[in-house]
Amino acid sequence: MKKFLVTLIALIRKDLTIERHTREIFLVMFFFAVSILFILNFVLDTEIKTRYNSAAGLIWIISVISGQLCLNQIMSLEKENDMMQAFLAAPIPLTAVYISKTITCFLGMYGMTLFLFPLYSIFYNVSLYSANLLWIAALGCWGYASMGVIISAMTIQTRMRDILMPVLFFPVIIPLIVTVVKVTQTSFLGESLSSVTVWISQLVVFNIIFTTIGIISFDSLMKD
Amino acid sequence: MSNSNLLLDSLEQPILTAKKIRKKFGRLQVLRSVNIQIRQGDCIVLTGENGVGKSTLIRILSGTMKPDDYESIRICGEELFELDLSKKKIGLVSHQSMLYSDLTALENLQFFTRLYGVQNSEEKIRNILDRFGLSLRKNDPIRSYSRGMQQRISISRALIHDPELLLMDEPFTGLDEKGTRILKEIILEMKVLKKAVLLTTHDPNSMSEIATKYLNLEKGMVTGDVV
Repeated sequence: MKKFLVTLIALIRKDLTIERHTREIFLVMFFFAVSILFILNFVLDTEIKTRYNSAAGLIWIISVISGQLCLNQIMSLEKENDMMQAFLAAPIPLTAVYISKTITCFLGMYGMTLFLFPLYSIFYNVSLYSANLLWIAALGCWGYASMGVIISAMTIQTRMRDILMPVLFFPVIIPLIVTVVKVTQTSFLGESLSSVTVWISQLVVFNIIFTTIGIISFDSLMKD
Repeated sequence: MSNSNLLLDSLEQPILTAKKIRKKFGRLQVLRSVNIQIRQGDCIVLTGENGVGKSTLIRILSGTMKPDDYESIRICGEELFELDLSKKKIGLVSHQSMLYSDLTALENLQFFTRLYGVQNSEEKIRNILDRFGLSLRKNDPIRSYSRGMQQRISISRALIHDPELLLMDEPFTGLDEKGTRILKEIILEMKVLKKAVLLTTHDPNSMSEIATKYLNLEKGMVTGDVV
């Protein structure tokens, strides 16, 4: 277990050090998110109620696409210079690589999603503050990252990766996104979350299923 | 094979024993039934034409590629594909540098010492960087290095955990005269320390001073003689 944790920390630290040097992931996600919010500002109805109702959906669409950019960057680090071969040659559990990639992607996407809430409030002059958003966004982002890393690992060696990745990934992730949008919207509207208990349970179950699939399959996926 | 060589062969313990390795890509049978044994103190030079399967064999022996079929691949008595820890005994130099271009040489080596659980890592990193003459540029990102310098760091990465067996695919590619000399010195030291080296090359004549055995890979089979 200690060896697993040491490896996991080394892998996360390495990804964060690369990001500290390049700032590629942050800059790509930031400019994408701000640009889309800016464009939507001219497209959306100016009525406050409409903006409240559409906030959850819009924020998660932006999060999902910027999360995709984050996934691409994080996984392409390992494609360059055949780093996956280095992992296969090392005496490490490959599950640690999966968990580390999921954590790094989660951190990027979660940070961006939390940044989008106040930004949306400023752009559209609506108040979206709710402490529940912290854990709702965490569940949405973890589910997304845990499945995204698996699909990304499946497609990393293919030539049509950029096309294959969204084609394979988005249909799988739709139920999670629909669920998290529903829960987020309920939170935005100030309604009690007890009315969406089933949706929250569903969100938790998605996270457990996706993470379990990742832990079980990543090792054989990489070795085969 | 002379009697004295036979005697030496029988005295040294095998570091790697691989039996009946088979590998196919599509319809092409690259490795038919490869048997190979590497003993302590060996420096085996593997030769063969382009595309004959030398890199495939190196990848299989390093545990980064699974053969289609095999009887056993043992590293110091442990089955390679059953116990990940046996990989700690192998150092691998591949065609690709297996380094992160955006990290510095120092950060790359630190990362690999953590993966391999190397003790006294800072001292080992300092020593190996000194040896390859890269100490002054240890804080530069790998992407700013020349091909030869990247190869030096790649070899340092493979050596940093002090492996029992060093597998190298065309290790002299890109190395200048000094780099070549340093690598040959390291191989000679590994022989003295009863470790082993398996390397591929297209210039077997230049290996005469370090090779203990030449093997030739042809039509999916390994043949060869003791020097």
